[in-house]
Amino acid sequence: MNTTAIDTGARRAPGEIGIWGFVLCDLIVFSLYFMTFLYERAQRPEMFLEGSHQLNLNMGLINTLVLLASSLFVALAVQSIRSGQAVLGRKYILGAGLGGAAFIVNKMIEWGIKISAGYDAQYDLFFQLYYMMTGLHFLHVLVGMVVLTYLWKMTAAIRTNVTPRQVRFLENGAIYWHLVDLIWLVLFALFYLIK
Amino acid sequence: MSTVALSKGEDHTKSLIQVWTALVVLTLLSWWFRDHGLGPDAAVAAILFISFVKVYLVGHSFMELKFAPSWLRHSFTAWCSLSCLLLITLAFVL
Amino acid sequence: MEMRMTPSAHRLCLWSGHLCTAFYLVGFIFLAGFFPIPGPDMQAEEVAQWLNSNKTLFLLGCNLMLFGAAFMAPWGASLAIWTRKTESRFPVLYLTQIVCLSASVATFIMIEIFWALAAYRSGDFSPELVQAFYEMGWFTFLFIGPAFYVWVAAFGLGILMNPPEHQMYPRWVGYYSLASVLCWVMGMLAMFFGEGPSDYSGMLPTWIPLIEFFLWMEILNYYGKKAIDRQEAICAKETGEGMGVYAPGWEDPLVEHEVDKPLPNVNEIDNPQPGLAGSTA
Repeated sequence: MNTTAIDTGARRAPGEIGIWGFVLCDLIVFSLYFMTFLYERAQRPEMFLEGSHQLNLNMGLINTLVLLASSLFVALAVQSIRSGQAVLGRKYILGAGLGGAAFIVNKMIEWGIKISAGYDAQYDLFFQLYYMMTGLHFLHVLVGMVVLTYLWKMTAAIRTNVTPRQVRFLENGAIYWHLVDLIWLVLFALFYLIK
Repeated sequence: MSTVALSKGEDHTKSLIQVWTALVVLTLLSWWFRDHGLGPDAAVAAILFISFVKVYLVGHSFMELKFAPSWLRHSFTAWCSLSCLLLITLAFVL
Repeated sequence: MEMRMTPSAHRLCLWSGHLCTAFYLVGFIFLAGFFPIPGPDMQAEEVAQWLNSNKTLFLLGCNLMLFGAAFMAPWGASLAIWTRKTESRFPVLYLTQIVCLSASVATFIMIEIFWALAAYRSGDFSPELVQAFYEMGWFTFLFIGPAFYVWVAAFGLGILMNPPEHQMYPRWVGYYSLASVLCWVMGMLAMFFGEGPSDYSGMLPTWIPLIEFFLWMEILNYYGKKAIDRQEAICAKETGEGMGVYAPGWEDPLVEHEVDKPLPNVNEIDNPQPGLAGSTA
């Protein structure tokens, strides 16, 4: 058995360099979205103030905490699986997946309530941007759930030792899930918190 | 079969939980700033700033950028600072 | 590994990517004058008036964009061939790329045909009809999206999933391509909006994806060039009958081939005997 030691303390790209091509591209695109939002907000401050009052702050706050917890679970899963505790790691992945599912359900309920109250995407520009931006983020969450499912399947066979390919896939998946969390942190500030 | 034996003794669990606690506290703090303590303009700046501090923490700790090569770490830090600066400017100048 | 490589043809295909970017952006922004884009919140009369007042430049822009769109075909072929290589005998992702690329190029050309027709008849058709053709162009522009997405996703997955032995693009390009698809996807929602940053004239569905698309194209072009250089170096090292790089030069002998004569030996063409240069074999 050929065992390679990887020193986690050494300077190395988490996952692989490649995944950061994804992350940086996505971050730049989202920052353009954020700027579009603030530009439109500056054109019509009253409309955006009124819009943010219509959103349910508590649901947004719950979703933020759920995603943060889910992110922590994924980070802990990476930590445990790398150090040979695959069974514990899988529990964390399951926890992260439940967090993602809770986010999806919560978001759909929130959208449903807003739409049935008449605040759909055509209501005004605030809600147009709200549905566009949270919609793109929602798509990222759905992709993330697929990634978590693959992680769950992949880790089933791991007992104590992991192969470099498994570590790479695990870390890449984790980085993607943190990206989803990170984007939501800004969306939450823009749509729910700013007055 | 090639496997990876990771250097043991580097348990980051504690620091991950610390960062997560900080993230939750910062979230609650920005939620509190929404209605208390600051004027409307200062609240906008504070909320945006706190959210990018959170973004930085997620990248630095959860995404393990603190172990990454410096060019990658600096790119991410640059993105955080630049976006934060641009967004706060946009919120006030326009 | 393939036997022989003709890098000049490959470079020519890759170069058409630059032509696509230049022709399309110049045609779109400077000649057609889509800056800012007259959006769905404009009255039909205003659109017809706008088209009629700069008809010649607009039509010139459409012409340029049509050529730009066609140049996407050889460029896409120069990308797809690299994943074809890694897939060897079962090139499903390569075929997916080719099918979707063909559909994309065909629809990419349709867009400008609708815009051109709108401008062509802007003086004499009723404004509503002109606007209908104009918007038909925009709907084609945005909602051919899925064919593009599948094309680029198949390319990205081709880089990421295949055995790395013959990989010529860095893996991050694969991830970047997938992220680009996620960036373009929101264009599909423009059909729900008649005003604001999410309608077809806005930032989110049109400007961000358009700029990102051509940026992606140019970055891939750069790495495509490096891939050809690498492949050329590999092929140049390979020796043996019918292997190596075929780079035609002015010193090559002319080979006249008629159907009733036997085919010339490739080695005679590639390695002409000293002193025989210029003479027919």
